[in-house]
Amino acid sequence: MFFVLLLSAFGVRKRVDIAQTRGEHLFQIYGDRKVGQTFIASRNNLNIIFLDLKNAALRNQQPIYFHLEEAETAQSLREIEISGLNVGDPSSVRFQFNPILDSAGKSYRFYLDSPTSTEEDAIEVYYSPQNLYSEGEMIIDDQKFGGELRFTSYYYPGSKTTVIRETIKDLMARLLTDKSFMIVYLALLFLIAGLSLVI
Amino acid sequence: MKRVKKFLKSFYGQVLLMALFIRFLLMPFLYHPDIKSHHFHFYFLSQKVFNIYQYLADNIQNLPYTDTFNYPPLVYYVFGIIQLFLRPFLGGEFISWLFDWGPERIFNPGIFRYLFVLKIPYLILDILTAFLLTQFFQNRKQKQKVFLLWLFNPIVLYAIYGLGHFDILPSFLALLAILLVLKNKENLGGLTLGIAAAFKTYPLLFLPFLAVLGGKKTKDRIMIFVLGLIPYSLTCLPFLNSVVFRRSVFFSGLSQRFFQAGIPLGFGENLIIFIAVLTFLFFLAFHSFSQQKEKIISFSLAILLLAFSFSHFHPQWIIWILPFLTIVLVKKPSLLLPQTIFYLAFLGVVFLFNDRAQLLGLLTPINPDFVGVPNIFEVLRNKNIIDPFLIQSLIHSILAGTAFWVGWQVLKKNE
Repeated sequence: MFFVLLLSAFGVRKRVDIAQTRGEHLFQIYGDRKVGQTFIASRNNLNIIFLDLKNAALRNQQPIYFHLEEAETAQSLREIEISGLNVGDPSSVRFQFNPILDSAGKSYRFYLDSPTSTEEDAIEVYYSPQNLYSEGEMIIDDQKFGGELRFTSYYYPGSKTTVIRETIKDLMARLLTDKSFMIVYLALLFLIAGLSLVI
Repeated sequence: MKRVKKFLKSFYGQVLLMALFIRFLLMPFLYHPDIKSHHFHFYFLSQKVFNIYQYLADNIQNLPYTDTFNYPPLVYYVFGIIQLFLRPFLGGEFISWLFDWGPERIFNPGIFRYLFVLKIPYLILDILTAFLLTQFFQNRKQKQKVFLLWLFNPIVLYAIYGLGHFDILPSFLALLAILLVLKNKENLGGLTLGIAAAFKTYPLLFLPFLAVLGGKKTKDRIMIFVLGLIPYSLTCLPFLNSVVFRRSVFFSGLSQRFFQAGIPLGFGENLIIFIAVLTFLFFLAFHSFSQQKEKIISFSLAILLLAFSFSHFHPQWIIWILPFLTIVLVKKPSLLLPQTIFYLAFLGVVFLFNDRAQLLGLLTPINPDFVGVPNIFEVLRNKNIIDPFLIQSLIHSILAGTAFWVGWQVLKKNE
């Protein structure tokens, strides 16, 4: 456990908020097409969204725009421009922005577009046609599509001490949710340890 | 009670308690998604789905998990029934968890219970394997050594409790089959090997060797061979007409991996190295070691070493080979260095898979942040440090070289 906490402190620079990691289907982004997802952040300091993209045969070298908006008001919050050159075949692409300090509980929408890309050199985004995430949905050109993009959102935890403190707190909270299991489990551990010491 | 106390005071009792303690510590905290996907499929038996292959093909669009079921039917029935028995200990939310493939799944507080309970059948088989291994030796020291080596091998712990695959069942049965042949129960051995193959096909590779080395006369050999084919054939027979079944089980990527490494002969033909060397091994067994039962272990090990050398293996396949490596190490301690290199190379290859679930991803029950930590493959590729495939190929080549050496050492005539 100590080893895992140590790994958490040194290996974890960003904390996961939402991890929708399933989906092998691909959707093309080109021309006027906007491909995005709505979600509700559960933590403050939302600052990164990872998207799994594919630049087939590394053909695309066009600008790709990432937009983050408030879902209800469509107020633009952050915009990032990358190039197709930054996208592998395939690769997880990080869209990092200044933390949104009061993101917890708020509904957001992000989308990608690439007006100068064509159908031939379009960037593709991974998605699942299943409705796996109940608090958001995939959207194409402002319309619900049915399914979810493959995305992971992160929030900025601050210091390493915060990471360790939050990791322990989250773990304890989850362990203590199933009290009956924990009691039996700890009893078994103590029984075995006790038996090997006593006998 | 006195017998239990006496056992617990014995060497085996003390070691077992320590081994159980370590296993209990690991069981609820290591998670590989395969244990969930397997039980997602096994769940449908309780819904009276008897042809899982067809059911998945017909309903894939409506299911939250869309992969096919690539194992022989007996796996589905046996583990479907086991899941029913475990259900009272899994809690009411278990089925919701099985159907949750969304982002909330990694934060589910029930995961510790599910992992612990679902791994109990593997724990039983793991412990039984440890005791079974002692039966291959007469000498008390060797019995104790093999018991220790199995129970405290980190690769055993990683493979069974980390990866959480059911491969320990066919592995146990294959080992039992060989033991039965060594104890002059050849026919029962053949049948047991067939049952093992009905869970995972790989023990069928041992069957010709079991027949040739275990049977005295041609009639005995044919009997062993036929008995070995019966359970596999019988359990697959009702599904053979199904295209979906054949595609999922016989022609899935998993079962085709042995046939990938080849030398092109031109005109679309390939020399499949695994099959060529396997055939060579068969004739070696037939002509040079005929009726030498004790060589069954060596040949079984050699076959699996071959499989690891010439295929892009799945990490859980290591459970197939671990019992044989452990026996051989006790018999021939000089193989400690090559075996250590083999295990390290195995880990090297596996950790270089582009799959986060193989290493830090296993720790997501403790800290869900590990789901987002890139794997070694991604780090090497994204930071342009070095081509990860090159490193993986180099390590796999070292593994193969080590495997050839170990194989040669165990097959040498005077061994």
